[in-house]
This record gives sequence, C-alpha cells and structure tokens, in this order.
Amino acid sequence: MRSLPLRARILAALAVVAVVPLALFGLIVLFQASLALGQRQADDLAALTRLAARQTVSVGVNPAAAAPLAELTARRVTLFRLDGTVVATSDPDRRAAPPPENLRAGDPPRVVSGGGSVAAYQVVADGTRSLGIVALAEDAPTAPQVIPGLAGALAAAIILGAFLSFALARSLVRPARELTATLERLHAGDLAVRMPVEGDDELARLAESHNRLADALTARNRSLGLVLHAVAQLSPRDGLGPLVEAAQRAAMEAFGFTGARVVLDPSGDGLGEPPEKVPGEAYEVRVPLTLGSERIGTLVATQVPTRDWSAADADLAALFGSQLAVAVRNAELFAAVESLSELKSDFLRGVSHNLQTPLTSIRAFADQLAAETDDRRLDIIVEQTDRLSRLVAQLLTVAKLEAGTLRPEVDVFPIGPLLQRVWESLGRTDHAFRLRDETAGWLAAADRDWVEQVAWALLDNALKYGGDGAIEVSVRLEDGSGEPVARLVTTVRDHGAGIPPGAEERVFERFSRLGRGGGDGTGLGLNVARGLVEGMGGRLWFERPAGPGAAFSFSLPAERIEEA
Amino acid sequence: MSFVPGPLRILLVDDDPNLLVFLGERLRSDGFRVTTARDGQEALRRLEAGWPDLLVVDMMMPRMDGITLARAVKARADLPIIVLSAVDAGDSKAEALEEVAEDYITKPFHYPELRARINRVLRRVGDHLPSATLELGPDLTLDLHRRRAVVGGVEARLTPVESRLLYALAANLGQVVTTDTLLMRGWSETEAPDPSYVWVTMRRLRRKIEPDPDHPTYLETVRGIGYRLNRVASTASG
Repeated sequence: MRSLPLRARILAALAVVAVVPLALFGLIVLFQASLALGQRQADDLAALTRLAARQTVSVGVNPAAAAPLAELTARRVTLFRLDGTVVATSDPDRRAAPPPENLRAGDPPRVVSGGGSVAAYQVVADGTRSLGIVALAEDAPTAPQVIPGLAGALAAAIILGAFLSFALARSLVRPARELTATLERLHAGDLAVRMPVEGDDELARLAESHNRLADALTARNRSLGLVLHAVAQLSPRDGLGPLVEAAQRAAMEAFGFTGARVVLDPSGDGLGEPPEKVPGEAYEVRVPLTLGSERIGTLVATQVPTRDWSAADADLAALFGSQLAVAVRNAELFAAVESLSELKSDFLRGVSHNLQTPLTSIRAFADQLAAETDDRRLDIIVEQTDRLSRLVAQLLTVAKLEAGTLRPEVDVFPIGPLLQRVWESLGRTDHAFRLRDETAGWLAAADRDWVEQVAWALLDNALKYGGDGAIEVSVRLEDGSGEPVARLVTTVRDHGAGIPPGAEERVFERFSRLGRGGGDGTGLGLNVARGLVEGMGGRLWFERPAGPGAAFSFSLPAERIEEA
Repeated sequence: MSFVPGPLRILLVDDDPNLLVFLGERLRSDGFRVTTARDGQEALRRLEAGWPDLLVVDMMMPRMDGITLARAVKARADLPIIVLSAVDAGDSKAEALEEVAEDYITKPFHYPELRARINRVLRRVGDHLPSATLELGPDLTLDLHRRRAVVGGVEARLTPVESRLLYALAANLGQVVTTDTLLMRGWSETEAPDPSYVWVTMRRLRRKIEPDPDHPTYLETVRGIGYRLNRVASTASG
C-alpha cells in the first residue's frame, strides 16, 4: 500500500468511501424493484386466473380443460373440485397446492405464495352455482432470493471498505506522523535522522526535501565545528608567525580551501581588485580580519570550483576572520609583554650575576684567609659579604614575588638547627640569643633556602631594632586548630622599642621602615619574608608580647617523624 | 657503584678568573684533577682533549651560556653537570636548568657546600636508569630528568630531593636500597642528614605517586633495611 503513490492512495480511499453508499443505494433499489416485480407478478397471475375462471365456466370443470387453459395463460393450471380434490392439472409434478379453505364464489382471485412458487386461486362460478376452483401457478420471482446474497455482499463491502479505509488512512497519516517525529528530533538537535524515501510522490519529495535540509544543516554544523576547532587552534601564546601559519592551515581545513594566506595589511590596498570568477576554475575568496570596526588584514584563500561559496559560508568565514583578528592582536600584545618581561628578567639576572659573582670570590678568599690566620676582621668581611648577597637576593625575590613565578622546592628538615645556623651566620656572638625548640619528633616541610631567608630577615630585624635585650626564639607545634595539616610555629622575640599600636600591618608593607633606625635596612625584609612564608603555605604575623619589644611568628607545614 | 681508578677529573667553567683560581686550588687540594675554561667554547675545546668525570659550569657567561654548553655536552655524552648560578628555583631559566643539570648551586656558595654537592653527584655516577621515562605500572610513569611523575594520567612535580631518591631507587629497580644510601643520594653532608628525612620524604612521595598511599605497591618499605621501587604488573581489571 505504501508503495502506491499518494494520488492513487487518495483515489482508492475516495473509491472506498463511495462504494459503501452506492452499494446500499443499489440494494435498496433492487429490493424495491423486486417488491414491485412480485406485486406485478401477483397482479398478472390474478388477471390470468380471472380469465381462466371465465373460460372454465364455458368449458366446465373436467379433466380435459386444464391443458388448453395452460396453453392460453402460459402458466401451470390446476382444476379442483369444490372439496379441493384435483380434477386436472397441466403439470402433475409441480401443481398448485390445495386451495385455501374459505374461498367463496365471486371473490377476486386469491394469490398465495410459498414453497418456491406463486399460485392464484378463484372459484369458477356461472352466476348461480360454483363449479369448482381454478388455480394458476408459476415459480416465485427470483429477486427476493437474491437479497440475502446481496446483503452478504454489502456486509463484505462494508467490512472491506472499513478495512481499506483504515489502512488507507494509516498509510496516509503515517508518513505525516513520521515527518513530524523526524522534524521533532531535528528540532531537538539530532541531525542524524533521515526520512525514508519510498516511491516517487509528494511525500517522497517532502522526505527528500527534509533530508536535503538535514544534510545541509549537518554540513553547516560540520563546517561550524571545523571553524570553531580552527578558532581554538589560534593560540596567541605561540607568537605571531606560528599563529598565522596555524590560522592558514585551520582555514584550509575548515572551509576546504586549497590555499590560504593571511595578509596583515590594514588597508587591504596591496591586494588590488579580486580576480574575476571564471566558471569551472578555482576562485579567490577574501575574508576581512576585523576587530570591531577596525580592519587589521585579510585572509586570501583559493576555493575549488566544485564548491559553492554561499552566504552562510561567508558568515562563518567572517566569524573566523574576527576571531583570527582578536588572536592576532592578542599575539602582538602578548609578544610585547613577553619581551618586556623577558627584558626585565634578563636585567635582574644580569644584576644578580654581576653582583653575586664577585661576592662569591670575595667570600671564598676571605674564608680561605680566615682559615689560615686568626684575624677577626676577615670574619667580618665574610659576614658582610653574606649580608650583601642576602640583600641582593632579597631584591630579586621581591621581583619574583611580584611576577608570581616563585615556587618552593619543599624538603623536610628540623627547623631548630637551621635557626641556629642562620643566627651564627650573622656573626653577632656578642648579642644574647636563646633558642627553645619544642618540636622534637617533627620536621618542617618547606623550602630550606626560603626559610633561611625568612629567619635571616627576622633575626636581622631583631638585631637592628631589638635593643640590647636577648633575642628569644622559640619553635613549637601549633595548637590543634582543627586543620588537617600540622604546623610548626617559630617566634622571634626582641626586647626593643616594639611596634607602635596601629602599625602592626604597616610593617609588612614594602619599603616601610616606620622611621626606625634612621635609614637602616631596605624595608623589604618583612615584606619578602611574608611572601615567602605564604608561598610555602604558612602565615607570618606580628604579636604584641607581654612586656617590651616585638614578636614575629611564622608557621610552616610539618611532618611527624615516623619510619614509613 | 663502580669507582674510576685514579683521581676524578673535573672541568670547571666560569668567566670569573678569580673564582676559577680559587675553586681550582680547593678542588685540587681535595684530590681532584681540575682543568678550567673561561667560556663555553673553550670548554668544548677542552672536552675534545679528554672527557672529565664531572662538569661544573657557571650559568651566565659571555658568548655561550652555561645552559647552552650543558645541552651541547649532554647531546654527546651523559656527563654529570653541576651548574653555578645566581638565580634559584622559580626563575624562568630554572626549568631549563633542571633538565640539563644533575644539580645546581646558587651563588654565592660556600666551598664546603659545593664540595658536598660534587660528592653527592659523583656518588650517582654509577647509577643508570633503564630509560629516560620509566613506566612502572598502569598508573605510574616516572620522568626523572624532568622531575615529573605521571600518576593516573595526572602530572605531579617532584622536588629535587624526591627525584634524586627515586633515581637511586629506579637505578636498582626491584632491589632494596638502604636508608643510608638514600640519605647520601638525597642530601649532602652540609645538611646534617638524618634517617628521619628519608622516612618522612618516602611518606610524602607515597602521597604523590601511590594510588593508595596507605597500601603502597610501588614504593615498598623493607623494614630495618631500606626501600624498594617495584614495577607493578597491570591488573586485568584495568
């Protein structure tokens, strides 16, 4: 059914719809006709019977009378006596049934049907007395017997019609339903669905048309995907050259160009007029690279002759062009920033190298001499060289903290010995120093060099601003703060002037010296120390001790010593 | 570990003549055979005359910098290199430095510190890894030259100490390495090392590279002796 063209299906449906009333109408007509026919037959038979009765009066009810009457009326004739016995009959096999009981002379012929035949009876009377009864019979009309057959046929026609109608309706509705379902899936974004194309009718063409639409959408989607993929490849970090190369490759891939080059010429004048498009030959496509309203260049590409360049393609290309323009601009800015940043790094590296290298020599030789001769002045050279190196390193650390490029190399070590070593490197054996370490069984997990720098900065500060009182350093395990990571807290306490109220946070600002010591110090120590401690996942803070002086504490992640 | 007979040879490259003189003297007095070069090109000429056991090179030099020299040397032979530099970790150059140098020491340094590092690097000379990247199991690959481990597809950075310990363990894959040996490979004498450093670092390493740090499969403890690095067969379940 479905392979039938839609037109044929509609015709068939109409035909089925027409057949049922037609059949019904025909049946009614036939029934009416057969009724009329039966009535007429009865009338005829009655008329002939009246004629036969009159003839019989003259002939008399005798055995020889039947045959001529039959000949005259062309019916089967039977003559009965009044008591109903047969006198004569023209057809002994199929004679009429015995006459009805209450038949009286002078009555019109009585028509009786039954047993497959119709018979008319009349009393033969010559005015005064009844002679007998004449009966004419013939086969019952065929029409009424046809009716049950016709009714069956009609029922069959109705059932068939209903079935056909249902099937046709289904076959008509199904493609429409499928079309709707398919379109719904398409709306939902499933571009893979296709309508089955069967035959060559309107629905088939509709399906084809839908499939073409889906194909076009899929192709467009694919191009869009390629373009987005191409855009994703535009990384400004790689620099302008690689970016342009990547963009050309990406454009060829996304749009099927056989060639593509990026011309970074804002005016686009250098390109001249685009060449005329010749049918059957590869043609040039130009995509402006625009940044808002500003044009920074053009993508000049060659397209194969077999591929159309539709308005939709142009839209996608414009999108690609604007993304490329953004990437190009970013690459230019990025390169500028990179080179500045690299310049700064190079400068700092150079400064550091040129200061540290001679310091290394000075220190090395002073060390060597100190080992050979017992001269306190050599120790001072060593100490002061160290100090200078630390300050240079501090400057560099500031720059790196600013750039966010610092990364600790975490090692595990006991913090007490490190503090002791740093104190000794300061060479102030004349100053009172007390170290209380309560962290036996624990190691700090931090960058050794950084912790040294932090400890040096805090101890150096304590010496500078702490007056003559003892410097007290304590290391303890941080009280259970509910954190999963254990921490060691180191506190450096001096007995100097302390920090004025309200300036507790200001001491951590860069170049802040709070006017103490008259220009002594760089004002970087605490700032750098805090940056380093925070970089290792710890904290550095000021505490106002009971009594005179200042106390600075820093916490560092810790690990319990256990054989593992 | 195999010892080279005779004094160990060190090629010292620095553009500061004072430092060359000083370091040359100290190293010779410590029993090394020392040759010196003022820049990278001179160093390459010296190398043609004979290969030393160790290269100590300054990072910043005119004409050819230390990293370029170190790369050129590494391209020809696996010679251990210690870089002297005025920059420390966190500098943009530090990454490149880590790839070519066994160790680096920040200027200004104390001679004993350099001496300790030289000892440590030379101890490692006998160790050789089967390959640059070591696939130890379905979810662990070590790339010790880059100080990286890839754990279940995720990259984890290793600290210098961690990668030195893993190097020693990987060079003896499947065999026990004593805690004392690990202590000497991981830390130098100037750091006053204690076995507890090894224990704690191993625990930290397990947190980095073991899928289940409480039930280690790669990094195994051999009670009372040391540690063993294992290759783990990939399980059928994946």
